[in-house]
Amino acid sequence: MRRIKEVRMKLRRLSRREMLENCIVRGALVASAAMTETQLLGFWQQAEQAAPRPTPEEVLGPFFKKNAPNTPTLRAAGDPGIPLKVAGRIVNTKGEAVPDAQVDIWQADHHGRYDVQGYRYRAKLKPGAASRYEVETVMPGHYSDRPAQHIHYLISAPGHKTLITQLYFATDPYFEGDPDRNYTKGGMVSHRDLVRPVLLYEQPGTPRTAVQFDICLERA
Amino acid sequence: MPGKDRVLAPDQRVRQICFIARGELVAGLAADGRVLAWNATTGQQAPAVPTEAGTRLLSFAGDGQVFATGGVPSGPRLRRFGSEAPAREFPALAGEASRLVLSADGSTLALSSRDKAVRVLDVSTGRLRPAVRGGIGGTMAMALSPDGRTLVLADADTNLRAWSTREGELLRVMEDLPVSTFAAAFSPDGKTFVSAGVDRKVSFWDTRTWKLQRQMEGQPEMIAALALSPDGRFLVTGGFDDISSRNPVSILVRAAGSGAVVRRIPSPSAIVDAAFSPDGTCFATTNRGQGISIWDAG
Repeated sequence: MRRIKEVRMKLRRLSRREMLENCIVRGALVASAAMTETQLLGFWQQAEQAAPRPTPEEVLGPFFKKNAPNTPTLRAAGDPGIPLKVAGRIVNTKGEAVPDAQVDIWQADHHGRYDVQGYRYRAKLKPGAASRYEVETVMPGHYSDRPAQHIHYLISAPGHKTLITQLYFATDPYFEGDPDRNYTKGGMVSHRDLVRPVLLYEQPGTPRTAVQFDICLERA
Repeated sequence: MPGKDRVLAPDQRVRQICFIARGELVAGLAADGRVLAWNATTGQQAPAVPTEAGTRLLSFAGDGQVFATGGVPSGPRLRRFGSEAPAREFPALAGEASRLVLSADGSTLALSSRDKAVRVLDVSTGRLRPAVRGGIGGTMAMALSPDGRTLVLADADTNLRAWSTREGELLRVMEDLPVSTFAAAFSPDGKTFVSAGVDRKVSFWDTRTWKLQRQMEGQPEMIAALALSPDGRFLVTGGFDDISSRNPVSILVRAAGSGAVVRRIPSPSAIVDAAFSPDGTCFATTNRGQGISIWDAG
């Protein structure tokens, strides 16, 4: 199974390179002979943005709960844990905004515990036409059964395939400082793309974290 | 059955247990994939039933003499105690099997796989029954009615789906529960379906209307195992603490009708499985540690 995924990954990489080569062939790059590396990178990113890959899937897990509240604030005042802001866009494979998406987000608290009796650290967001979401939460805790920190996502939108996935953190000690090498450890993470870089910053004396996690949905 | 609590097979980790041979033996799946059985009174081990290496799934028919095994690439098998060769070999199914259940009458076998497919086999012909489907999350638990005609799938999307296995018709989607179900069973008369899971409640459903009849509270932990006595009067439940499956939990024996607690037994770690003896006087449980505990039903 994993081998198939690796092959797919290589194919996707190839197709990106092919895309760039196509651009060169069509003269898009030739037009500016003295193009800098930054410009080239920008062009690459633009090409990537124009055709993002569908976000890889993950398992739903046993602790999904229906009917969560539509709130961007998961962290209550005084909650233990490192404050975390997660933001992103919901797009289709052409990079266009997907309106009317519904985004269920749930995670364990700082101590690694899911609230199954109430709705702490659970939200059902409705990003609307802008297709952007943002939540204020804490870095999820570790727990023994699934030792990498993660946030669960269930995203549905009219005309698109429902996506079940999870967000992981490159700063997680589980990846031992090298997510490229260790994301396959323990068979926990389905795809490297789900391990996101974490921005660490300080705000009035408190360490804070932020992660950008864009979601790309396939057409139904 | 002598009415004294005891532990069998203290050096074995056993799952998917069942009383067989009219209650004389307790059988289960050992960690190495063999199906082992012990005398329920003396604890003496009976000859093991050979299985394919890597067997991970086991389900018994009503009397326990016939059982199904699976979770290996070569496909599920139907076996009989006292017989070395499988009674029936079914073709390999696509996808890695995650759960397997044999109906009490031995007529029907249902398998779920990690790719979220569910397949139903007619045991006598070995043919696939019409396709049935769970939800988007994958099957967390499933149960077949005693006659094998109805299959209920509990999905991680928290919904329960009742299917007719002969027609492949979706009878009802039960959307009442906000959280997942981990354990499910039909009453021996087939009139009631019982489910339990994350919400720590036991839910009773009428299998004619598929309406939620009532819910029983009182379990301190999430419920992962449930067993109904053969006369349907008593219910055993056990599960796991939501911080660690190594934390102690309670086993509850309750009257299925009134919910009155008949017995409350402490367990040092999470309960994995439970089964009643055919005469209903005792039941067996396994936990995350080793051994099979036999308890007086109270």
